[in-house]
Amino acid sequence: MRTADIKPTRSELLVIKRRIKLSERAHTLLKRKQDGLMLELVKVIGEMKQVQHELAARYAASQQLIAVAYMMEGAIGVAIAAESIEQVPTIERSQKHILGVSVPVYHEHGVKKNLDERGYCILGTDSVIDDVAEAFEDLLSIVIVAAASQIELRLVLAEFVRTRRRVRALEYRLIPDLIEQRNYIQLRRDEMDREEASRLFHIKKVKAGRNPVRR
Amino acid sequence: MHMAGIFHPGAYIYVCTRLQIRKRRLIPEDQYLRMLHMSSSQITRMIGEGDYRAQVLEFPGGAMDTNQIEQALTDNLALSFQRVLDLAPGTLGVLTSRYLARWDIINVMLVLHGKEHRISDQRIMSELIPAGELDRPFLEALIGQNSAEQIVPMLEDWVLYPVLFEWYMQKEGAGRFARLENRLYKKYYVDLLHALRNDPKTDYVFTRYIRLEIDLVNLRNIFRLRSGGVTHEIGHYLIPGGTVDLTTFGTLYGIEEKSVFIEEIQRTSIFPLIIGGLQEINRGVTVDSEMVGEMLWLRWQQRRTPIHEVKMAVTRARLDQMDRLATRHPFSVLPVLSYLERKKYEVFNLRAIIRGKEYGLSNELIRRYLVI
Repeated sequence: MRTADIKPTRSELLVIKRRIKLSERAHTLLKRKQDGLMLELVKVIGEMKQVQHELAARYAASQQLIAVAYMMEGAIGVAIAAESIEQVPTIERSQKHILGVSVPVYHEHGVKKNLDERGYCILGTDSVIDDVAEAFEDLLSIVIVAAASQIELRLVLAEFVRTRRRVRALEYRLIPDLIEQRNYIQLRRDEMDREEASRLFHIKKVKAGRNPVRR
Repeated sequence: MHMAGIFHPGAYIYVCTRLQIRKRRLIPEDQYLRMLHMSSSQITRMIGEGDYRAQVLEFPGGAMDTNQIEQALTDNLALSFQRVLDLAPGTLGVLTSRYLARWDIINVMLVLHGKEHRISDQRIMSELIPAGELDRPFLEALIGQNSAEQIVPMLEDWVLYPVLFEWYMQKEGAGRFARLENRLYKKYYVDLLHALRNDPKTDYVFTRYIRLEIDLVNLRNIFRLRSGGVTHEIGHYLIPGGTVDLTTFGTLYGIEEKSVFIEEIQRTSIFPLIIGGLQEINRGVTVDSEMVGEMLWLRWQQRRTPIHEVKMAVTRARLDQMDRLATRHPFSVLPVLSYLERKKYEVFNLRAIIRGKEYGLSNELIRRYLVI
C-alpha cells in the first residue's frame, strides 16, 4: 500500500468506508451468482454427458446402417437418395438468459421428415434407405441439441470463471486493501488527535510558565 | 419337355447353353466364404485376377479405393448384361430388354438428378451402370447436355419416354422427381407384364416370378409407408399386377388388430416365401406360419420397416426356386433370367463384402447380406 497517496482526512475515511460497504455487498452478490452458476454448470454438464452418450450411440447406429446401405444399394443408390432431398432443414436461433448469461437456443425445422417428404422414390429404393435416412435425421437432431448444450456450457463456464475471478479479487485484494487503508487513516487520525492534544497541552504549559499568575 | 417362348429352337438352345455355362463360371459359395476371411487388398487382388480383370485394369496402378472397385464391378455388370442383350434373339431379346429396362430408369434418373443438383459430369459418369438398352455413349451424350430440359427431348426413342415427358413437365411442387420415378417404375412393371401376356408361349414361371417380385415390393412398401408416417394415397406407392390384389394391401394397411392382420397376411401367396426365407436364417428351429405371422405383426405394430436380413433371405429363397425351375426348363427364358439375377447378385455380393470390410463389420453380419 502506498501511503503517500492516502490523505488521512475525515472525508477520505468516509469515502473508503462507503467503498468497503459497497465492495462487501458486491462480494456477497457475486458469491451468490458464482454459486448459482456452479449449480447451473453441474446441471449443464450432466445434461451434456447424456447428450454426448446419445450422440455417440446414434452416430454408431447411423454408421452401421450406412454400411448396410452401401452393401445393399451401392454408392449410386445411396447417392441418389441423398441428393433427392428437396426441403433442407433450417435452424432458428433465439436467446435465453441464465443468471445474466445470454445463451443461444436452437430450434430445428424439418429435420424429421415423413417418408413422402424425403424426396426419393419409394418404388426404386429399398427400406434400408428409409432406415439410413431416419438414423441420420435422428443424428442431426441430436447434433443440434449437442451443439446447443456445448455452447451453453462454454458460455456458462466463461461467466463462472469471470465471476470467480471477480469474487476472488474482491475477497483477497480489494476489500483487504480498503480495510488496510481505512485502518491506516484511522491510525493516522488517532495519531494526529494525540499530537494535537499533546501540542495543546504543551502550549498550555508554556503559556503558564511565561505568565505566572500573580498572587 | 415344356419349352417356353421358342421361335427358333436352335438359337434358343445356343443362347441358353452359353448362359448356363456363364452361370457356372460365377463365383461359387465357398469362394465367398474364403473372401470373408481376407483383407481388403487381398479381395481386390482376387477380383482383379478373375472375370473382372479388364475392368480393374482400366484404373491406373496403385491401391484402388472402394469406390473404384465398386465402379469396376458395376462396369463389368453392365458389360455382361449388354452381352446378353446382344446375344438373345427374338422374344428372348425383347423380354430381356424389358427386364433390364430398370437399369435405364436408374441411369436416366441419375443423370436428371445430377443435372438438377449440379453434380459434376465426371461423378455422374462414374456412377452410371449402363446395363439396359441405353448404352454408355448415349448416356454420356445426355450428361454432356447443359440442363435437364435439353436431356428430356433426347430420350424421345426411349420406351418410357411418354411417362418421362408427362411427369417431368409437371415440375411444380415438392417431390416431383420421386413422383416421376415412381411412375417410371410402375410403367416398367406394367410393360413387362404386358410383354409377357402378349406372348402366349412365355413361360408362366417367369410371369409368376415377376408377379411375386411385385408382391414383395408392395408388402415391403406398406411396411415402409406405415413406418414413415404416410397416411394418405398409398395407392401411389403400390404396383398393380402382382398375385396379391391392391385392395388386399389397402385392407392390410388399415388393420390394427393382431388376429385380423395375421389372418389376412397368411392368405397372401407370398407368405410361404417369407416362411422359406426365415427358415433359412433360423436353421436350428422349425419355422411355422404362426411364428412368421407373429413376427410380421410385431414389426407392423411397432411401425418398423422390414428386417434387412429377412429380405435378403427371401431373395435367396426366390432365386433358389427360380434356379430349380430353370433346370427343369432349360430352353426357356428362365436360364437367361436366372443368369441375369445371379450375375447381379454376384456383383452385389462382392460389393457387400468390400463395403462391409471397409466399415469393419463382422464376417457373420456381412454373410447375412450375401445372396449365395
